[in-house]
Amino acid sequence: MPLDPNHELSSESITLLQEAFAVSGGETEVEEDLLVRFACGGLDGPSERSLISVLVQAPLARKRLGEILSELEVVQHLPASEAAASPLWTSVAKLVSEGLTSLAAGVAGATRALAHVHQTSSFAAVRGGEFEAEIDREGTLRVHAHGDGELYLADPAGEGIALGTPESGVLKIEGFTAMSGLRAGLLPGNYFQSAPVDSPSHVFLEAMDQTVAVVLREQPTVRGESLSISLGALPALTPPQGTLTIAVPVGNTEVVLARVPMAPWPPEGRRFEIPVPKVAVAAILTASILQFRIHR
Amino acid sequence: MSQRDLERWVGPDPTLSSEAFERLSEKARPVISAFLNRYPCSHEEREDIIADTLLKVANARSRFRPEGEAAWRQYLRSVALNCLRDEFRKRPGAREVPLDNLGEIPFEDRPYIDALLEHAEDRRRLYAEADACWLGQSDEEGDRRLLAAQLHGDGIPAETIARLLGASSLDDALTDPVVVRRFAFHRLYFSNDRLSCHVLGIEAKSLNATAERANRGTDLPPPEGWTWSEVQVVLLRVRNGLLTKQIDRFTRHGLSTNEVLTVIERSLTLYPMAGEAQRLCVELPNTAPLAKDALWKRLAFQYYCADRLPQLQIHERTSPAAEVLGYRLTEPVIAGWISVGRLFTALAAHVEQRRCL
Repeated sequence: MPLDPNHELSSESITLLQEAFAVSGGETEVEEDLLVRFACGGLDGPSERSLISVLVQAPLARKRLGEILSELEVVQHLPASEAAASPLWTSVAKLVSEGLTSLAAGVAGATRALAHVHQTSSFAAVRGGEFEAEIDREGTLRVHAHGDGELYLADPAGEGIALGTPESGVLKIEGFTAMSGLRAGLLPGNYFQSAPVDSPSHVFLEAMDQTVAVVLREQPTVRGESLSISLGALPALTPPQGTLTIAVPVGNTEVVLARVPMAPWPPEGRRFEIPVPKVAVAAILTASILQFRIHR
Repeated sequence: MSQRDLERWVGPDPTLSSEAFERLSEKARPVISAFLNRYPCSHEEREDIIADTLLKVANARSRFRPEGEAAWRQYLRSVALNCLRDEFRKRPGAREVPLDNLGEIPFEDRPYIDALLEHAEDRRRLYAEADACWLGQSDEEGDRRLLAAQLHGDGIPAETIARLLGASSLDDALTDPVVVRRFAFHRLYFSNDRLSCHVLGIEAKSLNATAERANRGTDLPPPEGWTWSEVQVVLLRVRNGLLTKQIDRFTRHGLSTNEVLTVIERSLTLYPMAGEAQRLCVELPNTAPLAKDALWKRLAFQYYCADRLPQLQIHERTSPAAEVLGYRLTEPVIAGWISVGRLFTALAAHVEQRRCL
């Protein structure tokens, strides 16, 4: 028999029901890790649906989610060294390492030194694993190298502007003005350490026996679960041999996104569409740095 | 479920009886705790009363007769009331505190109570039913749209929302009447704890500590702009939902009735609901679904049921926002909704109807 919506309850029944449904304590707590995973698009369908149904009822958790999303936006635009110091990055990097394990054919063992330009007014400094470089207000570049091998510098166009052994650990170059986009690397024997600096308008292709630069035609973008990268022509002296490895740095190591043969490399350049697990999408955007390497 | 455990508890098998009482105790703790919410107990006192109650109930096994969920809960409450009286007598400078006796649960009320108590162990399910009853039926996609609207309201960029929840979620959300009502409900609903934090200007995580300090006294500074006495009054009014005469009766704040009223008036000026309603007018392209009684019944139910607010306080928390959104909500209207448990019976009928479908 249907219940009568106009039935009148006794006051004691009402009180009992009020007590039965009274909410004591705070709202449902949502784990930070779960929020980060959601913000990075790394939850599977059932977990995502379950979290959404909690989030709509949990203003505090939603507030924290908003903070995480904002942090992701900020970290995305930080130099990688600063991004790597972010607590959020630790969570994201963990997600990437978990999410990409199955995809990665292997993780390169070499520890990589990242170089970044920190520019303040007319002063800039390049810092890497084994070298530091600074440009003073008069435009003199001083490079302090702490390792063996030759120092390589390149301008924003990717053209090498200096290659030599620092004397007494310092390489001085007069009249240097192109600070933004400066690239630097140390060649210990035949291994070159490099990284994009500032904007990723150019990338180095790193080889065991030589270093070349090609133009990255546009900002790498992620559409859906595909990473799109467009590289320009290879420099004339770089034959299309070996394998191009594209990787994303994760903490002190990296995760390989793709390995593709260098040949053929048409004169107009090549576009790569690399499938990326959803979990890694935000991490790649956040990383704002990708590693390119050629193995002969 | 509880009825079966009640029968096992009083049954002849000692193992089954012991296991059943363990389960019953676990479920009884929040029942007793909710009963004690109306009384000014410290955390320690509350724990003591719950433990004493369960001990007395366990000792009364031979005299107990299982007669259903409603009777069991009523029994727990009556034992807890006696323990509460004992606890109050232990207080320094104790005087006899008048605590009303509990009444009976009429037999004809039981189907309604049973229909709703089915949800008592999962409040999210109960409130989902209340949403469906008054705001409109929703589903997973509805939740997705609602979250999109909420993140939009929190200032998250549309492209970020699209990346998280799908491109169409936000556009669809802002024009869906069910989502609009649910969005407005979550925006306008301020639980006792949330509103207390807002009025006192403190973080949610420090609310319990603040309440403890206000109750017991402390050398630490009170929340900015308040004295500890005022904090105590605010918490009793906003967090515990007490009436002015109850605040006078139970507290040691040392304020006169007029001073208490001044604190309450000041608290009311800090209520954020009208401002939130104005934000809704800016954020939503169409607020027409909010100018009908459904949203306000849902809010009244939540305040009445979850926060156990008296009619006056329900009115204080709803009418300023209703006015902004074009709905006239008076105290008599609210009285008509909540008197003789009409919101409960409406929801019970809705739940029963859905169960039969």
